[in-house]
Amino acid sequence: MADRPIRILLVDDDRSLLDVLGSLLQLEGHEVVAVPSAHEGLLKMQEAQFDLVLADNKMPRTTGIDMLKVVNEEHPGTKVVIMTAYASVDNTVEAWRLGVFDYLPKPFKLADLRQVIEKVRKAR
Amino acid sequence: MTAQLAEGTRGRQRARRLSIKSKVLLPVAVVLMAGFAVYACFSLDAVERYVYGRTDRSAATFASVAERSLRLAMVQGDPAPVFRLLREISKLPDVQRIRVVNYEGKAWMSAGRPFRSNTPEVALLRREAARTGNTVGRMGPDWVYRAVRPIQGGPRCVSCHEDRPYLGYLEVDLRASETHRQLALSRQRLLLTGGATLLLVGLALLVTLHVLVSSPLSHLRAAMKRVENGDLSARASISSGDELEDLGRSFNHMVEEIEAKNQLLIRSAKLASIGLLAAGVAHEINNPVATISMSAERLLEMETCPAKRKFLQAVVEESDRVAGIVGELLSLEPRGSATMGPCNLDAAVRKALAGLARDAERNGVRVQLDLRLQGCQVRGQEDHLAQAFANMIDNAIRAMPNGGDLKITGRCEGGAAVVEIADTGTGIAPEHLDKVFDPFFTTREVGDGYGLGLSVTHKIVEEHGGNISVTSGPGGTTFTVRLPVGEDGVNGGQADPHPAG
Repeated sequence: MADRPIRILLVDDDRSLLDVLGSLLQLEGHEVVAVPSAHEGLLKMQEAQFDLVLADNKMPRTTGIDMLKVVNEEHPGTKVVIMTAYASVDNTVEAWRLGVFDYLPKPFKLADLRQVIEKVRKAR
Repeated sequence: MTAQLAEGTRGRQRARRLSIKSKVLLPVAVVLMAGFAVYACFSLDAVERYVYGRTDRSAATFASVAERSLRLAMVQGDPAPVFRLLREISKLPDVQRIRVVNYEGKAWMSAGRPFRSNTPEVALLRREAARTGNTVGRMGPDWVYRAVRPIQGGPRCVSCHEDRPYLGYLEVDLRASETHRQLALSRQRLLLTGGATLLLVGLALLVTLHVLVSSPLSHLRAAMKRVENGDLSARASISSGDELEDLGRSFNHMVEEIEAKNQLLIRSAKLASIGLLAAGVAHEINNPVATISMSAERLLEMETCPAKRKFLQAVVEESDRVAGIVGELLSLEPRGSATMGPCNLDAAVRKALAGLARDAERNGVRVQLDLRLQGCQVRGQEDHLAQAFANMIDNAIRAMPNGGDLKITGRCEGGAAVVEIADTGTGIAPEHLDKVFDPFFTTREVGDGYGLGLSVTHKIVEEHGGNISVTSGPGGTTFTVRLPVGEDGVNGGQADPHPAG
């Protein structure tokens, strides 16, 4: 059970980052579904179960924090990690208040990403 | 229309406007002139009264003596010696003429300058004799003092002149021209000296007012005009040693305060705008930087060729550098005071120092810590304040690469918590001193910091309602931070620059 790859839903409106980060996570041996919006991400969650939602916060229409609220309600077993290119104090505080699993300010190091995923693996 | 009315009002105000000199000089001149006029009138009148009084008494005495002598001589039956005496007297320089007229108007005797008529009207003489005092009048080119005295009749005169109260009249005309001339001269001299004195007093007052009032005021006005036109370097140089000098000093102090506040505002606005810009572009920069950085890191892990690894290492490091700059720029973004609360300043300083203790040790810097901040708890964010102190401590340690003393003191002083960070380092050049808080200002080499540390410190201190100052010399640099403390031991912090909504 511990060796099962982590199923990750990657959500980011930056196509380039989505592509690269998706490939990186796959190279790490995880199962990755990469979508460019929170709306599509939530649709994917209807179809499959994920261990981790790695979502950008600042996206058009639905933000990462909005998505966190929905996932908390509908998929309580899924961990949510918010990535943000602009970490404001207010956003961070709200994310922690809503029970975010972790917070990754962009640009982050591979080591930080691996550490977070390891935490998810342990918490699974 | 309104503008025209306003212009008209200003025009009328200008027309009514009088300078201080005029306002002081006019009343003084009026009062002095009135005073002098009154003095001149009284004084001249007194002199005239005195001079004419004396002449009057002389004429009366002379007429009385002449009349009595004549009466005595007539009683004795021979008035001729008295007539001779009168003729002699009429030759004196002050006497113009003498005449004795009988009750019928016939001249008994006449000496000196001839009279117009030898048969004067008795009624006229009677009136003249009855008039109190004597008269001064013009006779041709001369001024004459004229006395007419009746020759009284008596019991011993009845045998020759019947029973008449007056036997005749004695007319004496004394020359008054010289007296008159002297009086006129006195009057003239008085007016001239008075006029000259008034003029001199006026001039002295004018010069005094100009030197003591107008000149300093025009200096002050010129300085004010320059400030009005935006030149805050203008100062009034008044050294009159009086209230105007105080006024000039107050003005200079006011402009210095405005200039300092202005610079502070400009610096704060500059930092805030850079912070806001950074916040705006952070997302756009951090996303591609994240992509580049992670890609390079992953490639670096897979690459074994040393040359390629070197290039990839450069990509990773430079991405980190860009991320660092953006991160520091984001620190300049204005933050509200909503998350501020009572915080431990002592702990913030110690935390900042603890993070840099190894650097201090490496540079051979001896640290002295003297914190007495128990009495003044400030309101704010401990982490932010720690960051602010860390930036200053880092600066101090870097200024002492070959060792030195770092002295950090904290005390409560006049409702403020004061923290001083003093080093014995190389010091800051005077021309750089007012730029140290400017973003991207650095004298270090490229790659050794972004020149944002002290800007961030400045911004944090300002957000806490405090202020920061720096002094530097050959002996080192001292940063002084003052943070306000309220009466209840808690400061108010700064107003939230981002109110809700």
